[in-house]
Amino acid sequence: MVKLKRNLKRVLKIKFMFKDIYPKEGGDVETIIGPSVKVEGDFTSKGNVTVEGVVHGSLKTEKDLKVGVGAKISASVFATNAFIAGEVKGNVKASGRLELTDTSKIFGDIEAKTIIMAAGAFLNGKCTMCNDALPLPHLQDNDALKKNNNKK
Amino acid sequence: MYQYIYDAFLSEEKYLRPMTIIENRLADLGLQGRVNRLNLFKDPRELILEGIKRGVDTVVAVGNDETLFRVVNAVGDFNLTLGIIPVGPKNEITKILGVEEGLLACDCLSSRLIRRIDLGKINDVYFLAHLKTNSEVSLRYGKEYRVRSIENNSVEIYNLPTGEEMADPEDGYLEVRIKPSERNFLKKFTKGSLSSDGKSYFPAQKVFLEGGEGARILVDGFKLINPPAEVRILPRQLKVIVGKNRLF
Repeated sequence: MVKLKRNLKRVLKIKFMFKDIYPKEGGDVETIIGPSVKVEGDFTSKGNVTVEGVVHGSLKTEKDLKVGVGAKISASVFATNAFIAGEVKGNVKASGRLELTDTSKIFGDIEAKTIIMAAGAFLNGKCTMCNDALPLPHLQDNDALKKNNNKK
Repeated sequence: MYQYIYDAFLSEEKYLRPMTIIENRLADLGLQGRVNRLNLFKDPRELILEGIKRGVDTVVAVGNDETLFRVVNAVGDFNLTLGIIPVGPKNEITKILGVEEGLLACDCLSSRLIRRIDLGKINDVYFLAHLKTNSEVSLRYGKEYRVRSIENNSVEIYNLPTGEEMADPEDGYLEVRIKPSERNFLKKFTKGSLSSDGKSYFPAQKVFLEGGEGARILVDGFKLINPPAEVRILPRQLKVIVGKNRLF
């Protein structure tokens, strides 16, 4: 019985060790704007955003942004990390990393701490890099923002 | 104290024996209470108000998903616990809550495993599980942004999970899904073919549904509402007795 208790304690200790190393990512809210959907206005989120459709206006997220191959964004874009494979007509700012694939087309300025540009990427605008992380935008409260806070 | 709301269809002969067995089991478990039967002339809300005056704290819907829908709309404004005894066909929502049919439902009621879950509201109508619309409906998130469909899409809003769609009824959010219509066989192989399933996902606490003349919204599979409609979530509004095999 004593041996069993000791083994159980050991197992629980290991489980909680790994819980810290590999934290649960269930709290991340993901919004997906599908290919047959158009969003018009000021879209803000505190979770990850994937765009495969059309966005007009502005798009801000405190986490990661992924723009798919068929996506068309006519908006200013701000994210922590951005992966762009589609078309963006507007300025793009990433406080961390900005990656442009070979199918990406940017008609506007880009600004990021780290920029990765694949051969074939199209950029028609200024490129600015900075040593320090860019300040995050002031996001208005909205649904995804509140959900992420509550899940934490 | 318990109050049992029986649906009108339980008066049919084929349900007499199952109901006798259920009532005997409830008596054995010490769960007897007031029994009221629904019909065209009786509003469940009035029955529940009478029950509250006599000390009822748990209302049990006995019937199918439609019975549950009617009772939820009566109970939604009050601080009562909701139980379910599913009898007959069309009990999909009760399966999500983990409540089995017949005698197992009585045991579930006896165990009193209560969870506070979110309750959806569309205009003045409460809904527990989901809303489904046809392709004429568009979404507006207050003054911030609007979501429109480029192709024929249907909008579905989930509070409870189903076998196909995930949702968490305890997170304080509705899960909005925009699903494309079935693509025809040839389009799948053209340049515009989609790598993903083409669905859109938005979490929401409050959203406005708008649409033209042909737009319709189906609430929990029973009630049809015409837009415009305001849909919102009431976080942790409803206390429900659930089963161990619930989907959340």
